[in-house]
Amino acid sequence: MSKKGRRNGFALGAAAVLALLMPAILAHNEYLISVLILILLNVLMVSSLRTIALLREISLGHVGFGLIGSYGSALFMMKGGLSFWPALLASGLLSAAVALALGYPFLRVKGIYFSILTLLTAETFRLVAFYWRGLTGGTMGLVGIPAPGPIALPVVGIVSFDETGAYYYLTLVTFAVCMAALYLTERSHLGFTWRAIKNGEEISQSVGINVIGYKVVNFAIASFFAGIAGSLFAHYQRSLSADFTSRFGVVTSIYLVVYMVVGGQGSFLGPAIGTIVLTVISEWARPMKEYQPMIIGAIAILVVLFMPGGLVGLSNLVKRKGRGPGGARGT
Amino acid sequence: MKRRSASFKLLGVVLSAALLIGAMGTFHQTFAAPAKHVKIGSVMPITGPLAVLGLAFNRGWQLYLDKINSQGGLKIGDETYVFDLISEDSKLSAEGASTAAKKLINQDKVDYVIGGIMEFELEAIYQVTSARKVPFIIANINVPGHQADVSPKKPFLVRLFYSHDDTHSIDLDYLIKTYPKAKKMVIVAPDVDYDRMIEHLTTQAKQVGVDVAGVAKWAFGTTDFIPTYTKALAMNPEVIWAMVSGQATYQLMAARQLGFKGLFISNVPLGPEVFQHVVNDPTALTDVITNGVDLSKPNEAIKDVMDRWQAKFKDPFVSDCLAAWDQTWILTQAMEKAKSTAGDRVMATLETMTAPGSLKTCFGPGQMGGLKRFGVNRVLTRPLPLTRIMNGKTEFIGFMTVK
Amino acid sequence: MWLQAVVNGVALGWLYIIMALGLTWILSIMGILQLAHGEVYMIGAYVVYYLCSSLGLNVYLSILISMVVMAAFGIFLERFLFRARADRDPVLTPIVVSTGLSLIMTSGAVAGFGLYEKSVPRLLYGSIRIFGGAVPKDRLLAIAFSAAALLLLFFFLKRSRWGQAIMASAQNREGALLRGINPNQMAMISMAIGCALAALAGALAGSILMLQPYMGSQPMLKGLVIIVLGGLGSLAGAFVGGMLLGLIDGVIPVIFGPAAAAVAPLIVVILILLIRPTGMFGHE
Repeated sequence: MSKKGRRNGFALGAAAVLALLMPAILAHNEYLISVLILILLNVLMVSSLRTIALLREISLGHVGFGLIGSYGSALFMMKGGLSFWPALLASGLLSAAVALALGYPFLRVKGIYFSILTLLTAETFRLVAFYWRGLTGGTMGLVGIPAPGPIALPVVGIVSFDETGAYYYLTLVTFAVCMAALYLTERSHLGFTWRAIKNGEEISQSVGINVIGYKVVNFAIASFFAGIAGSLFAHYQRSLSADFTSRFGVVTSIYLVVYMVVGGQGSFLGPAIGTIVLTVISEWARPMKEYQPMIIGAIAILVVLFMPGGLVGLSNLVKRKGRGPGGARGT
Repeated sequence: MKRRSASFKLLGVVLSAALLIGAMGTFHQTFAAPAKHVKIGSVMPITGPLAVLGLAFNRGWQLYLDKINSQGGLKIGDETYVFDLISEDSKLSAEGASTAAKKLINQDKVDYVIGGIMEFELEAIYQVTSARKVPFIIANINVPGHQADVSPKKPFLVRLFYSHDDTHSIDLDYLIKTYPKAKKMVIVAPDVDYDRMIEHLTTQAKQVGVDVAGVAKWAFGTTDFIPTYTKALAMNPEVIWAMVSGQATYQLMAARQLGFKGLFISNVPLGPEVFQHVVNDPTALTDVITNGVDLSKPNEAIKDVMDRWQAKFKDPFVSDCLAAWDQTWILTQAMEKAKSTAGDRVMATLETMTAPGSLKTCFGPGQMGGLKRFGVNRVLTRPLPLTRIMNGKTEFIGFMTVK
Repeated sequence: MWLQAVVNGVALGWLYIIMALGLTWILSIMGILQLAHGEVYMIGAYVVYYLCSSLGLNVYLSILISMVVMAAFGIFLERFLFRARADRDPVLTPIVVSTGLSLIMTSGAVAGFGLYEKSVPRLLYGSIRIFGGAVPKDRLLAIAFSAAALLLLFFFLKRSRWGQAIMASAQNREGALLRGINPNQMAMISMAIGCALAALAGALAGSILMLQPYMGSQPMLKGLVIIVLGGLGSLAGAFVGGMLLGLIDGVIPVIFGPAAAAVAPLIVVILILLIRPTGMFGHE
């Protein structure tokens, strides 16, 4: 294995060990672990949002597919009789299917119009979930969503996912698998084609690439993972509500974009960094009470104005300064 | 080049996250103090559209706890107890309420949780508190009997806020006495699960000879009430009943602008001073009934709260804090009777305080009740204020006892 | 009832149009999505409140001053927060900046003005009867103000040199640049106009509807809907879109109820966008 490869593997392994040990590190504090779970779910949402951004399209309606995943998974288990893992997969596929269906007409619309279109579509989904009492409980919300059924593991015995610590591991494993999938997709031929389309749509078209086809697939894949994140959320929170200030509202969609940009959408790790930093600051700033939003707003503005590559670019910035006038080559 | 920086970046990210999150835990640790502390955690929306209520409630709780603490604390037997209020923001979402409750319980180790305005907040908070057997005191509910409300299946849950439909008989009695010719009513309600209350009111109205001609519903979040009132007034009512809405002031303005001259009843504790402050059309401020307190004629208890508010805060008094003050007051009354501050003992004691006048509140003597309707005696009943505004002037009718 | 609903719809429509106009200018000339536009509207309303209640000024004068103040604020924002730079992503940076700004402005309003409900003085009292329905006079006045603002804007754009430069910029940014039109100046002017319009809409809404720190989010959404309906950079489009939305919002709740009222405009817009991706009157 090359030196680079070994360093890479070492870092990845260390990160994995740290992630696995987190609950112990946090002294099994349920609140902190629950913050971690929400961070993982948000990172997955933002990373899949970034997938769409690879095409230089900004979706302001990503939470709409999260909503489909959440309610879908909950209803698959509650009314469809599925157990957790099939429901998880099915809800991801459902979100992807909806994205596929909407993709063709939606992706013909470009730029800011696409953003507004996605925003309005997500709002429509939310309003449907909010008002359709028969399906989603309507304004009363959906309660009593079951946790994943307990499983028997070799060393630890029976693990019940009612407990936050156990759910953290479930989320972590699913998260790792999904992030790996996203990473590999980005570096695959598919991802390469997406980048080609981003850099020149007409040229790509002229060399025979089915541009709209690739865009739709991109949209569907991103929505699949949004659906997965949604499902994980539903079985963690155990209840869902679709009112304006909920997770499925417009404000959340915009926050996802903020996390992505503050982290730096150029890098695969950008979403993770942005989400983690802003979430931790947001939790830390709890004593600020009603001024907490101001702090987040100020930080977001400062990062985006003065660190154009996002926080990810920070290490590059430091490196560049350290190297002197030669500057960073090829990074 | 890219790979190396990427891998170290990843490690850096996870390490920093671990450090930060771990540090968060220690940063918020409270240190043990000599006197015995009872910690009450509050979960209310302090940002967002309902922040007025959230802050008013927090202040109400804080003011009462300040009072008790300044008197040296609560003496039970040989022990003295001092109270701490730790407030968290629910961000008006189930997720936010859930996280806030978890922080209060796991990090701050509170003994009681109080709060919630919207039903989805109540459900989210209860999910967390019930798992840890921490008592949760519901501070507000819009729809009594909702699945988020008290029930025999829900231990460690009590509602120290009255049921809105207790106002029905009080307001209807006043209506038939003072406006005997008004026989036709239209109910205007937000479109959020008020159906049972609407049915209840319709039945009660019929019993006193008032006919409900129809219901006009508006979407939660509406700012312009002209369309809704266009619909309502098309039914030619003599009375409008604006059901449980903090927007009653704007509804009044819309109704009067469209030419409605009849009686306007708002059965929510919105004070007449809010009407006078917000309604920028003086001709509208007549023939208005509200279940809010007339702050220009406070009783002793209310005056005490108002004075303390003025001393501590610079902005105008919000009468919603009175309900909150009562909640912490009632809690300490129950603690005195239970001779304990332990959650389970206090909850059990509260359930026994059902004799009329067992509890003291700012609005008069009250008690716990609700066995017939909710299956458990875990709902507060106390007198409700009734105020009329005529020609811009407030007429306080009194603190009416609920039947 | 029908007629009443229609008239209400038209009155509402004018408020929306003014909101949308500001937003569509900023979007088409600067190419940015100014997500804090709703907060500019809100602060504009609070400025009027402050001038009327604390300084005792006449309400009409206050509205004028508020428009000037917010226009200046808009120029400040453009200069320091929204000016494009080579290393900043032109689409994403403004989204994040305006989101942050929106958070700061709402928290700021809460800190500065408190949460206690307030209202801007009523412009006119009473109602007049039109076709058997009562129409509040202040809504008619709001229509008049909005129409006047629209006309002024129209003349400014068609007759003055600045105006024509702006129109050119809105229709084709690169082309305008080639003709020597300074994009920074255009940006400053459009922010100033956009914010002044938002302040006007906010002041009117603060008097007619309600005044509280979170009053900006709904109109913002409506503004977005109108831009899409009418198409970017088009005055006519903003007008038609605003009217359409106003009518939908005025009539559907009366006939069908709140659920339909919430979903209907969104469905209409989605359909229009799909059929005609640049909006009804939009340019590419």
